[in-house]
Amino acid sequence: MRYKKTESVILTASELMSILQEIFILSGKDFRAYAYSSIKRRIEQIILKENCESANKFLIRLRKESLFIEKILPDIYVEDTEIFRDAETWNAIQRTVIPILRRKQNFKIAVPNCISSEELISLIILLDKANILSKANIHASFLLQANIDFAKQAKFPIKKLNQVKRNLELLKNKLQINDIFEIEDKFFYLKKIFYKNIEYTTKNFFKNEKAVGYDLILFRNKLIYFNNFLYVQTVEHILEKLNKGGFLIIGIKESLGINIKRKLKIVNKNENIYKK
Amino acid sequence: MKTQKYIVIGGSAGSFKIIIRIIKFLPANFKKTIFLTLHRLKHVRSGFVEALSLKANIPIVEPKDKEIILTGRIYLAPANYHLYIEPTKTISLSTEELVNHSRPSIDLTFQSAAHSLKDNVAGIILSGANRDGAEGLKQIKLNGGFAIVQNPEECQVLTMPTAALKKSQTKNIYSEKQIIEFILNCK
Repeated sequence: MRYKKTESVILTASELMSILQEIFILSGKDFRAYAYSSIKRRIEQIILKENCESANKFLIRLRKESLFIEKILPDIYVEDTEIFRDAETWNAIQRTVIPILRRKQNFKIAVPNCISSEELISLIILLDKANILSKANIHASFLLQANIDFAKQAKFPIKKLNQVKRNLELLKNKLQINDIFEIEDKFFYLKKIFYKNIEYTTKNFFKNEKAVGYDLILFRNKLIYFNNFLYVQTVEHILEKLNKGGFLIIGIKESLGINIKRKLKIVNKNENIYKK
Repeated sequence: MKTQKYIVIGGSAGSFKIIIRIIKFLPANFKKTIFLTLHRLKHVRSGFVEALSLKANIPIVEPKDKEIILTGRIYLAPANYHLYIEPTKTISLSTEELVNHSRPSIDLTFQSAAHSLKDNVAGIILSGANRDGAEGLKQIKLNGGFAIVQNPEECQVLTMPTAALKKSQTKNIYSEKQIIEFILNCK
């Protein structure tokens, strides 16, 4: 998101809550229990970008312009940063999780709250290279339909390719960029052969009662955007949805409370890989 | 003059040496909290805290998300994460877009400190090669905090302190010695 270089917008806590409440009413998307500083900054940046002079004028546009909410929603969510972010984590997944999944006839994976799909892409590349993608049933739930449309193409600007190359070099199995991506002048995208066994949905994973029985839930760098209440609630939902022996992977700087940790076995402490 | 309980320090190219010297001078009974947001290599996760800790008498930690802020500690923003200071006196991390080509961004840490800690925070901008931190330091000053910029004449790279001076309009241009004295006198 590119912001205009005007003066700062600073929201009060009550202005922020009024805006989040309005967004919830208009879209059903609930950011009221998101981590305060991050969601505050994102809304402030949108107000700047849209050249609204005040919180009140922003609220008026939300209420009066029917398409405005659709326009701003994508900017509220935080995209994944890069394919194979934290290569050490992906190396640990190859060492500890993939061998267990390989023993199964088939297995279910959930990647909830996808936005820009780099995490999903990283995972399916690893599964394919381990020759077990065909045994996987991957449930990828997205926050917006536009995110699904993007994920089905997974077309990234060429300027991001060097980053991917660097991350691939840090992986132990030395994947080759040309084996994975088609490269054009201005873009690169995942080869079509990788798109197997993925179910794309916009249904809320945590409210979807049919979404249960997973052998792996990949949920890295998502809990950091929730406040304590939503974070605890979400982790409890995740535990209910995991099979016994199923893996949970969260971001390296996220943590599980003591009560939750009691219900899980630590597989890799540094990389935050747990087993139910 | 009010003494601040919290100190946020931002640095980039050329700031490592002064940071080591600051850390070396902090006594084991230091009663304040320091947040260090430094531009660093995003792939290098380990080694930095250990290198800084060699000279330190107080704990230096890379916090996890939602960690409660304690006194007598230095919190180092982790590689590839932004660090926010919340009004609840906890730390939150984020993987939001690069800000000023940086993650962690000094501006984000300083802005959150300004709004969460008000007049209880001092912000210090050190040597660096871009303008990150300038807006954050301005916010600290506007919210009643104390804004300090390392004397650009002492800095290896002066883009960052010069931008911070211009944006914040602070008069507190400190030498390395004065910065160390300021931090030590924040008892």
